[in-house]
Amino acid sequence: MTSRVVLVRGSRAAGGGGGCCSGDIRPFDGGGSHAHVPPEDPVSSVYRALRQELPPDVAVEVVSPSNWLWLVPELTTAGRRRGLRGAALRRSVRAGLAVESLIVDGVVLASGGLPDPAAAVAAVEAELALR
Amino acid sequence: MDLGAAVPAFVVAVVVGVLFFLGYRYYSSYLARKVYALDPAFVTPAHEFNDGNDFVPTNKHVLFGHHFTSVAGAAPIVGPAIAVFWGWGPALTWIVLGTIFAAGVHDFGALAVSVRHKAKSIGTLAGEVINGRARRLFLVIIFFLLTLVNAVFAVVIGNLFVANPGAVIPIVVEIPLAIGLGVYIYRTRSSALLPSIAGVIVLYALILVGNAFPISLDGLAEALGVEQTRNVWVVLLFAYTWIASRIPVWVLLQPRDYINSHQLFIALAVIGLGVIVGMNTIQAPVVNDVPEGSPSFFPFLFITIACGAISGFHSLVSSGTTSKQLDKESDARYVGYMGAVGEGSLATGAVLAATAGVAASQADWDALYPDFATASGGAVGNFVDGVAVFANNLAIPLDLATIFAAVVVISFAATTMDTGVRLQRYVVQEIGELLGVKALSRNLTVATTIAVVIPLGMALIPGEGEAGYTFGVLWQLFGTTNQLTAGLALSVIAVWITRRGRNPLAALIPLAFLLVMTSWALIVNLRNFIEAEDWVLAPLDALIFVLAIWLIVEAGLALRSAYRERPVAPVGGFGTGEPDAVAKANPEVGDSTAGPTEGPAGRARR
Repeated sequence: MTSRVVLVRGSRAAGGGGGCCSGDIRPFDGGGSHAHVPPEDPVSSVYRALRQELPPDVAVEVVSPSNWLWLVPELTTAGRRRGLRGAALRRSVRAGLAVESLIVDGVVLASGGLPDPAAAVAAVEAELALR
Repeated sequence: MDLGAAVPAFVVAVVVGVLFFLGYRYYSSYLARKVYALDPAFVTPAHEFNDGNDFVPTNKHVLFGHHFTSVAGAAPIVGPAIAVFWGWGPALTWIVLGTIFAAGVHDFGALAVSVRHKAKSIGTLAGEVINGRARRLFLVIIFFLLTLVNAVFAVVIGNLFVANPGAVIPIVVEIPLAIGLGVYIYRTRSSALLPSIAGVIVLYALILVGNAFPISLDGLAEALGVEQTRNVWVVLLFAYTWIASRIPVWVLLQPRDYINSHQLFIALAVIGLGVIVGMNTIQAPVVNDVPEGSPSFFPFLFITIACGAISGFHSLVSSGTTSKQLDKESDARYVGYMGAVGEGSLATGAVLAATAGVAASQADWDALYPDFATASGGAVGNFVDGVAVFANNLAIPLDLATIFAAVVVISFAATTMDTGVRLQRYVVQEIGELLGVKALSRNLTVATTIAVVIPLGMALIPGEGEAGYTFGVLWQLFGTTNQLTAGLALSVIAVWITRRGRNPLAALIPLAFLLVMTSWALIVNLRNFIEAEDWVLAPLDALIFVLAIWLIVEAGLALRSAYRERPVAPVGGFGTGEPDAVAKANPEVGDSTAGPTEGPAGRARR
């Protein structure tokens, strides 16, 4: 795996919640008149475009904005690797934690809103080309 | 047997941790290789149907976080806190053995089967792998499970509000706090981390306010002529969940989850550090000499601790959402088995709080667990008091620590109720669809009202006093339905393993054990209910017993059929399988059972 692209889900993405023994899940697939379709997440189209255009050795992860246990170390480690320290590192981590963020190896390309799929692919490819 | 007085809780926690590690290291490895025959080259549904939304190949550590937070909640706290009534030895033994040999097999297996069937949910899989009747059976079992979940958690919260009036203000204010957080994130589209940490700080600051201004509904209950104040809370809680379950997830549920996720780690840290700093020793007997007439630990221990030893609900999470995001089939071991281990760890914490934290001497503990009715009615309160003592070891004043622990438990229980009613609404709609009743399947108001009214009735069943109530038996019925759900999922897993020509014993042993224990407990309880002329619980128990028999028959028939159809050589393992045999055994399943394909993680088919 040479690079990792991270997409942080949007604010309306379905959440887990509930714990044992309930949760926002669907016990059956499909359904008739009562089908419970999961809300469309803005990251979907960007993810599909990235996955289609990027080579297989570039990982593309979709992460919930509440998954701080994974996101904070990922952003901090990558930021430090790029030489960020202090306030600059804090700003970078905070930007990456925002909903609908696009991150490439710790570099936050978009925060709080995603570009359209083509622009996202171009931005990621440009970032990767810099290495 | 009084061997427990000298055992430090910390040592017990370490021993359990080592056993869980060994279970993961060796038994889950055996399951992965020999039983489920995981194939890292298999194209998972996350790749095959990758839509970037529901189906997304996800890093296994990320997915574990999602899976664990979806299965961890208040239920593994309540059961163990009741079950120490039989002594901490049997309770911990069942938690450890159940986690390693039953829950791990079940959670991991449900994930493995679902992944090989286009990530379909367990209800659908029951219909596909066993037969259409099994799907209907699942629907009925899950209906009772959710009814009892909502009923028992309403009682749990009601009891905690009565016992800890200082928790009312923080919990009530948490609702607008969470809504405010949700709106803030939605409008600013910024990180939820700092606002949610601020939310937790505000919530805990409100503990001071709650402690200064405790809110009791005793006066209101008296004015309304309601004998037990808890019942007023129960009615208010169901009125709240009727509304909360209908509003979008992102408005309340999701932001409260942000706050709860911090609370989970804070509570775990408080318990862990408190146990180490205080070096509390267990003040309960290893095996309790229970009073005559008490339920015996065979079979009741095994249905009192469901979540924490094995929980059928996990199969819904494994197959409902997690299987759609599994990057590699081999990740199922880490995500599924470790999810069960995490739940077992929570249950272990509950046992320690209810034996080492709550009492300074065995005489104190005996006073809290004199008989089953008192033990079950006060179990959650005992857990709260135990955690408060651990927090007190960290210099937090005991009165505030008690409210803190109550706030944590109520926050989780309230989220369980919110989502439980929402999920029950889906099930009611599914039943409406099956019966062809459009008012049920299409009208949200009707479906939600039914989802609320039935558990409300169950929660208000007249009891024998505030502490006694019928909570213990209500909890056991909940445990029974949860075990039956697990039994159905294990049946699906066992049939699937058999059809692949592999040895199904790993699934059959916990399946047989669960079915024997649940049937045994149902028969004993039915006799007790009839003798007590309890004409609410007796028919309910009888109905659940019929479901158990139905399940035994379906499982037996399906296994016999699978055994006859099994291939001569094992299939689907490590890239050497014979996909035709699997396809033959599951003709309706289609492509996702097609077995290994080229390339790691199935990238060739992206």
